[in-house]
Order: sequence, then C-alpha cells, then structure tokens
Amino acid sequence: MNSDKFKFQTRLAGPSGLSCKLGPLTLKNPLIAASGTYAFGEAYRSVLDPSVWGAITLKSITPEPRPGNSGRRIQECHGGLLNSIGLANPGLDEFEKTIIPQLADLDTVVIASLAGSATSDYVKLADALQQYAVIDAFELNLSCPNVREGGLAFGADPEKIETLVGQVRRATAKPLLVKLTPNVTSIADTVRAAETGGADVIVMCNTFLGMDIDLNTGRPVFNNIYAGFSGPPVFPIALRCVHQTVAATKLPVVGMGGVSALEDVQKMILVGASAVGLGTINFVCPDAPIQICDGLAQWVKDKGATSIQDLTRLVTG
Amino acid sequence: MLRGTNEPHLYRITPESVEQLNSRFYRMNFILPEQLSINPGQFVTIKSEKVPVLLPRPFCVHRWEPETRRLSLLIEARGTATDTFREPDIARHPFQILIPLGHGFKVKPAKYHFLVGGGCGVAPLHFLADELMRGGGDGAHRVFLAAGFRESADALAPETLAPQGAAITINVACNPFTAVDLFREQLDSVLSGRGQRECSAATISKGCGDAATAMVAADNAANEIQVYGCGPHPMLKRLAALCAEKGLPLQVSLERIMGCGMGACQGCSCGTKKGPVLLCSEGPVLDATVVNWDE
Repeated sequence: MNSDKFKFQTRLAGPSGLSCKLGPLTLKNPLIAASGTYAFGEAYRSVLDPSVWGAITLKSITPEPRPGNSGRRIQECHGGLLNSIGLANPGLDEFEKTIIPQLADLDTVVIASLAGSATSDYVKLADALQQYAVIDAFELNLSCPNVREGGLAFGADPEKIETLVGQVRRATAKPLLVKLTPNVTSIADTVRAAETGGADVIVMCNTFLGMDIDLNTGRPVFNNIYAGFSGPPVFPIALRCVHQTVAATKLPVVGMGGVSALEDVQKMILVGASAVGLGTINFVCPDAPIQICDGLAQWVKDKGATSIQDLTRLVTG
Repeated sequence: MLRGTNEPHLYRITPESVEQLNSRFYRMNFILPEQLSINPGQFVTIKSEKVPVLLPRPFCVHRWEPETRRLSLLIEARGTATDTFREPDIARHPFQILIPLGHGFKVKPAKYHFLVGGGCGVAPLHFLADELMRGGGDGAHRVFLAAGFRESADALAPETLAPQGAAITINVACNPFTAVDLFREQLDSVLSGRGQRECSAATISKGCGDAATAMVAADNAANEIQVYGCGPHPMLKRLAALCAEKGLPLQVSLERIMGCGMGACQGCSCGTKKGPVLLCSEGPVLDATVVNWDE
C-alpha cells in the first residue's frame, strides 16, 4: 500500500472525549470494525479512512488456507443478513507474507482474529504472530457458526473455552480478546470460562444461528443448512447478551450484534460495553463510523461528561 | 482524501430522473459530482432510505457520459427493492451510490464483436457498445447485439439497447435463452458472408426456437471475433458451451447476491477452475473458460 497516496486525516484522536481503555489497550474511540466485515483493513480504503476506527479486527485466519463454503454464502432475510462464508482466508503463510506488511499503514489498533479446528491451531497462530508489532492484540474466534469443526464446538463448552484460552494465554503476551457465541444456554458460564482461562477482554457476540429455505427447491438456502444471522433485527437480543456478559465478568466487554446507528452504540455503552463492534452495517453504509463518532462526541458533551468512559455501566443492575 | 478516479467513491445524491421504459424496465439517471474513470461491465451499488431492504443493490453501469457525468442504470422491477425504486416520488430521495466497482469487460481488438444479453443483463452492453463504437465505429469493426427478454412486451427499444445512430446490428428475442440462438444466427450470417447489411432497427422474433443451427466452423485464429455475454446463468452457460464448441473467446458478466461490493464480506464467491473468486472485486466479468458452469 502506498502510504504517500493516502494522506488521511486522523480524525477523533483529539479532545472529543472518546478515547477509552479496553483492558490493556487504549482506543481513540470505542468503535471497532468487527472481524469478517472489514477484510484485512484495506477493503474500504478509498471511501473511508481506516484511522477513524478505534480498532479494526481483521478477518479470521487459520493455519492453512480455506476456500470457504460452496454454494450461496449470503442471503438478506427479514431485514438482517444470513451468512455462511465458512472462514475463507489465505492461511497463516500468506497472511505473514502479504497481509502483515500492509498493516503498518493502518493508523489504528489492529486486532488479528484467530480461528481453527483444534486448540493447537490457535496456539500455533498466536505463537507465529506474536513477533509482529503491527498486531496489537489477538481475538480468539471461538464462535464461528459456519464451520463443521471448531467454531461453535469450542464456544459452547466452558471447559474447552477455558483450556483453549489458557493455552493461548501461555503462548503470547499480547492482549487476548475472546469472541463468544450467543448460541448457548448460559452466557455467564462461557464468559467466566474465558475469564478463568486468561482472557483480557470478552467480545459478545458473534452471529445468531439461523436458516432459510428456498421455496423454489424446498431445500435449505445454504449448503451448511444453518448460517449466522446478523444485522439490525438481532440488536435487542445482542444487547441482552451483552448485559448478561457484563453482569458475569469484571473484564471489559466489547458489545456487538446488530449495531447499526448511534443509538445502538449508546445503548451498548449504557449496559456496560467498554467498546462497541460494528459489523453488518459496514456492508450497508461504509462510512457509518464517521457519523456515529460525531454523534458520540456530541453525546459526551451533552451529558456534561469529560470521557465516554464516564457513561458506561449506568444501567447494569 | 486522495484517490484515483478509478477507485470506488461514495456519494449521496438524488436521481436526476427516473424513466419508465415499459412495464418491467426503467432507467434511473444520476449526475455524479466528480469525473470518474468507469469501464463497461463495472457496477455500482445503490441504496435509499426509501427502500425497505438492508443491503445496497448492485447494478451494472448502463450508460456513462463522461462529459456530463451522467450515469444511467437499467433496472428491472422484480423484487422489493427494484419495485420501490420506480415509485413516482423516488427521485426526491437521496441515494447512496458506491461507484465504480469490480472489473469490467476487456475490450480487445477484433473485426466482429458479438454482444449477447438476457433480461436486465443487457444493461452493460449499451455501455460496451458505446465504447466499441467510439473505438472505431467507422467500419473498422462491426458490433452485433442479440438480446432476449421474458416476454415480448418487456423487449427494450433499440435506442435503449445500444447508442443511438450506431451502426450496430440488433436482434431481439422473446426469451433470454433464445438470445443465444440469435447470436448463433448473427455469427452464422457473418461467417457465411451474408451479414453485410447494417441494421439499426430491432427485429422482434418470436419463433426463435427453430433458429438456424448449421454454422460454418469458425476459424478464429486471428481473433477476429470477440463475444461478450451478460444475463441469466442458464443463458450464459449455453452461450459458453456454444463459444467453446466454436473456439470463440467469451467474457461473461456473472451475477451473485452481494454484500459489501468491495471484497470485504466474501459473500459473492464464484467457483472457477482457479478456485473461488469474489465477483465484486475479481469480477463480475470473467473469462467463460474458467467458470465452473455446473457449480
């Protein structure tokens, strides 16, 4: 990436009161691009300065390349989005060779998302990527609903979560975010397992398991049958999940799920989220973080607060 | 922000006008605020608060006039979004436009260019025909257009299908599938030396199923012929089989449900002999020989 070509104005790094702590990380604002919606940070460069983000979470990578799922991969449904991408990614070697050199241009916190089929995959990735200063933190994707091995198999089992997080914790000193699924009976159990394992931050939540039927064929739309549902319709459910997460842990929480507007970000912060992830809305409105950040700065001012952090945890009871 | 004129730009503008073309098709026109470099086959995504769907919808650029910055999209009413786009007051509402996206047709030198479109797949062919005629419409090469629509009432007028006044042979069929038969007839005509008559009027042909099937084998070693297709998958598959049989180079513009339009969501994957490709960023135009047509 030619850095001279993109003389981006670094917005919101100043006195807007949006700077916030997220465990060991300091973000210039609480908005985080959700993994899987922002590629490796380069996708929207011509329409949005990546530095507007508090952090960008890269697309999940696995040790080996994955082509992703065949057949239909996305479907708009009831105002939301079903996806069955299947962790398509170039694999660790290609990531190190071609993606890592581009990350230095991202004037924001960079979070690498790690995924795999076994605990050893996550450890291998953390071990290999530990050396790169351009990666500020790791997010462990323990919640992808679109792969047959790993993904939900880890994320729904507290014992496996604790073991996996613990092993990665021993492999790296970088901050560890653990992204969990809402598709469990007890969110508190999985959140506490991640905390016990050594997580620094909990990310709640990944997509909700859904499906759709093609009425022309009478068959499921997706080859994997089930798919991850996201977008505005899931917001109230995600807000409840984040509320339960905040109640279950002392760790900082990134709230996400259907966040599409300033009001949604405010609500996530009011239930205790220290930062807020934007996902599907990036496909809909690529410059959404600009408008939301402007609104958040005004909100802090209107509330007479000096920092957005003063507005968190007001209604966690 | 510094960026190239061929990189995606994001605008929020109201349409200049919306023109009803027939019961199924209409044309939405915008005046872009900047001069952009747009190629035939590239696409845009548009979204309006007025339209009750989540994702922006992709449309191939139908017309682009660099001098006036006038962009036209050809839209077929066939769903919630496209039905709403043609409501009477739609031109009063701002649209979010992301443009230009993807990679378009590679215009290569040839003596004969055959453009084959089905339904709203004819949209990019007007732009392509315009580009081909600008590049030598003085007799250096000839352009043929075969278009098919679901019903004869849906068939678009010649001036909608190709630039006005252009010396282009246009044939229109009543079925997207039969656009391939029309192409075969045009090709047969050229190869047998019978296709010398210029024609700017559309021929509505309803009995296309019995189109001529005999054809002189094409000797395209000198790349005298280029074929471009856009339309329903079965139509393109049939066109690809025909071109493969005749040894003709074919570029196809493929369609998939798209999320971001910029390579971020990876939702528009298409199986090819080189592995999966994202149609939004690596397409939507691909060489027909690399496409896995049965996937």
